[in-house]
Amino acid sequence: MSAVATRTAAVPRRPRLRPGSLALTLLTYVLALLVFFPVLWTVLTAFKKEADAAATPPVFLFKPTLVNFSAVFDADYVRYFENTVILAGGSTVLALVLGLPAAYSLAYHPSRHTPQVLSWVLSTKMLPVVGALIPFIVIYKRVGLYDTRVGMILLYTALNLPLVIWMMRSFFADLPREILEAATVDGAGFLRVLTRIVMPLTTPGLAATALLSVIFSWNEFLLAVNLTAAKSGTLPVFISGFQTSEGLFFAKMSAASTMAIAPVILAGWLAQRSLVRGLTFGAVK
Amino acid sequence: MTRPAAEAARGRLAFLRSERAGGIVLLLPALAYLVLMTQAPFVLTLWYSFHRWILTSPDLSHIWVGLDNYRYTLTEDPIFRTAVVNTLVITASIVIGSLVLGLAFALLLNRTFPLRGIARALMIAPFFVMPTVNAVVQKNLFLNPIFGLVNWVWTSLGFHRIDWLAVHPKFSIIAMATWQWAPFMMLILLAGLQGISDEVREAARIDGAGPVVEFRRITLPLLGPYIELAVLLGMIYILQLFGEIYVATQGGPGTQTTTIPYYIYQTISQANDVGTSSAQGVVAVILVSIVAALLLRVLTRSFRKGLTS
Amino acid sequence: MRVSRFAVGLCGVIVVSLAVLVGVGAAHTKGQPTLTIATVNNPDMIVMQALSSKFTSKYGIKVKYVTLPENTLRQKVTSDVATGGGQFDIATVGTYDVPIWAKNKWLVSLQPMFAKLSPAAAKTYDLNDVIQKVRLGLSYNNALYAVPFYGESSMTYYNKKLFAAAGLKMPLHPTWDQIQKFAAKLNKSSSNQYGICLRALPGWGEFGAPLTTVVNTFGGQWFNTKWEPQLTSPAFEKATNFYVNLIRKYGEPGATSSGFTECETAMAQGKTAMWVDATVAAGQLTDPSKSQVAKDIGFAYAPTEVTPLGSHWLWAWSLGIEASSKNKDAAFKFLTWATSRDYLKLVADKNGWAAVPPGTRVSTYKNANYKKAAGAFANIVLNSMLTADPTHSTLHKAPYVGVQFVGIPEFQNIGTLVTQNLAAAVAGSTSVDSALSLSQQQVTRIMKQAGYLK
Repeated sequence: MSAVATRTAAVPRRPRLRPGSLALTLLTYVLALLVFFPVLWTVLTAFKKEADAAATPPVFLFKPTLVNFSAVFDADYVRYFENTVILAGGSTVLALVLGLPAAYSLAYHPSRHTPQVLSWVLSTKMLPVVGALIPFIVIYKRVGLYDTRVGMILLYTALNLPLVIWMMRSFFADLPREILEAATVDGAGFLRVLTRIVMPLTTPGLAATALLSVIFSWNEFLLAVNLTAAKSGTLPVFISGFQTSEGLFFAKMSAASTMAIAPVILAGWLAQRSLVRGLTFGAVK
Repeated sequence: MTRPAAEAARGRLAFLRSERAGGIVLLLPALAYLVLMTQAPFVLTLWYSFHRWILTSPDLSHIWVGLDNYRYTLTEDPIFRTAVVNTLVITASIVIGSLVLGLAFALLLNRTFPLRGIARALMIAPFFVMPTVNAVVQKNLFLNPIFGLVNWVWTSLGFHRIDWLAVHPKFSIIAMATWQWAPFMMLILLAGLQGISDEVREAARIDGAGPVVEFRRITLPLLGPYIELAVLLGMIYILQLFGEIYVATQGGPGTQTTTIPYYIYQTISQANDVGTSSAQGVVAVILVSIVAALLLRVLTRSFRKGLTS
Repeated sequence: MRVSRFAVGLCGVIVVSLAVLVGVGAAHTKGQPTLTIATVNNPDMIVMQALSSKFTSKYGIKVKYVTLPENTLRQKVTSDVATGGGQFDIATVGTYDVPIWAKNKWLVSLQPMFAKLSPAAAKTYDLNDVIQKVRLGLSYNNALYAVPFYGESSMTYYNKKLFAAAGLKMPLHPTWDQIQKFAAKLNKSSSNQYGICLRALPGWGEFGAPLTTVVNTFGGQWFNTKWEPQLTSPAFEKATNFYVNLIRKYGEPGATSSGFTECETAMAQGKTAMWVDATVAAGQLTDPSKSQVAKDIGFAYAPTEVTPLGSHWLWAWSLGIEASSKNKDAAFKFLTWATSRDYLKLVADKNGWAAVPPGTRVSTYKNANYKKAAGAFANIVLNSMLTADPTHSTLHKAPYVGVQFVGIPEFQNIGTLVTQNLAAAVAGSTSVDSALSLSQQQVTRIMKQAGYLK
């Protein structure tokens, strides 16, 4: 598959003092704000009255109100939030538990079948979910997993497993071979090597993978709306429920979205820390 | 690997203790899980694709029609053909666009500067928002023909006001999705960039290489595996793009932004046609596999060539 | 160090997840049934959800809602019932869905349940008070399958101030030709003022609804008695060309993104002089907290052209009991509670008479309080609903029921397909006639496949 690039370990960073550095930094700030603007707008809209939210031209100065947030909580936000946390967290954990050993095996015990295995794993994601809605519904009803949290966790795990396998295999394979050999020479078993050596060195990759897996589960809509009803609905279903074809809903929907993003951004912020530290790859030895 | 027949028994024992066996044991749970969870729905989809089943007409359900759904989809249905072309165009554009943007962001964020953490968080934020919500915001805020911010900027530059979603639907969808997926690319590429050591860079600079040469000869090749990963994974996800089209253009005007996933959605939710939508799904799998295989070949060839060591 | 912290965090997540899973899984209330209702998020439904506690305290039956946008809800509930049902007791269905679902035996007939009511209960509920045409729209083979929660027709809204400034007067029963002349005079696109707002958002229920009424009133129809599509007939082409050109010349920009909500917003902000759409907007347009032109809104009947038949539509969001429900009696109690006169009074006490669900009972329109609160438009709404006949909405005989739609399961697909093609014409990338001939081909094929045509 992908060539394992030989790279030397990074040494701790020294601050750069290049000309044009200030310009680049300012550019970065501007771009970051531009990129973030629609998200900011969504959050702002959550505090507007519906009439302000639908106003054209867009209203920048307005009197804030919390009425949308109370509508969100009245609509049983907490239950949907709870479901989503369990689904996203549970499926990510399960995908990691299954996927890390698999990634380890594909990276460090490759065989001539490895490319085919990887291709097949990826191919499980090639069927557009929308084309299999009825099959999913029929199967889940038959095995009694329809509208259950367990059922959704199992499903999302299957959706995230290829991501975990592919990404972690890449990060694992990128580690210098010598470290691994040094460890196995000492007679360490797989679990030891994984937890004591490999994972600490790939914490950033792990954090990125876990974050992506959580986000994909958090925002998944089509399967959630079709396989859940009153019991295991998730936040995307909850948010879409604010849409109506007869009435204004923009502000309430923004409030629901803000309440849906906030926890993820918080978690992301925390994951950032290990991303930041680990992404500089720390000392190898 | 061939083993002499006489040593088979001993060989088996040795095999079980060997690395190879360990490797398979580690792999098996994940593979078994995937087989269990994904193959059953796929087989059922395949099964339905050979039948006629209209959800709202119970007398038209579970009728065997063999390959008729495939025949229609591949040879007769003009919309499916348009959908294939649209899917390729739109997906390629988004993947390339978000890759370039993601790479640019990653390069910018790879430096040290004050408030770097905040800048990084702001740049990742779009990816956290549900695609349909993003689309609603962008449709109303940016692309509104009268008061959208895009038109506000556009007309201040002296151009005529444009109804973006009606006149340039593909471009609008591509722009919205690129914005959403750039952080995905950025996350992966940043991980790769941070792994390129300063020593290698210093050596290049001492040799007199400017930033452009450094980028082409060192950064890009070393990023190769990560670009490959990002493009492949991104393509698989972006091919299934749905929310933006659903909210902003409903596949139109006409069929200009009807992609395969959106068309399948219309087939199952509008025409209530399980048979045809299943056949379309299966055809989609075949198409995606072909594209992915081609992509993989192109990528590995170009990056294997560019490696410096 | 990092690993153990990480591992601890991981374990913590697993433990918490399992605990909650187990904890919630164990909680299982026995005793009184819980009703699960699939509903849309329209303002009247939100009020119903808020008032459900009154139902629970009266009957001891709990109610849970699953709220989704209309198209998603229809797709989900259709998929659910077609694969055996079991998720919902009550579904919120429209006049389009009810006859089709009744035919498929997905809804239970309410006729026997009404027959079982005690004479006193029957008198209190008074089924005959429910508008007859609406009941007709919710019936199949002469049996009622759903009760209407709120009903609507369509009418013309106009901005009295803009009209007065231009020296124009809107007649009570305008024709489309008159509307076009008004639009031409009132259209000032350079100052972002538009003559008229009309839906062109693709969708059988969005663009398709007003378009069909225009086709009807121009003397056209979707299918002749032999089920042959009539999209290229002179009347259909004339009507569609009229509609599309009206928008292109004097209508709002971004029309292909404009559904009910967008046009209502434009009207409420004084950006458009006229709007022909659902009667439910009347209450919102005259509410000063929601509309900037609340005092300037004038009302007229929906425009006609060659015939008044089918010029204004009939729609009712209704509650029906799913055939797979295990709580049919409890569901029937809820149905009759939510559509009773007492319920209307409940809403009136809470939010005022103008907020009462419209278009279901004749008695509402005879109520003095309601007339006072909604006087200006109440008469038009009632008369429109009394004269919108789903069985006689075209100039020439048609084989289908439905005013602004065709009551066959294939119409969901046909209507959306055709309006998508026409949206391209509205956007200017194709001509109306070529969009119509393309649509004619596609619809013919669909009708052949579905067995209507040989």
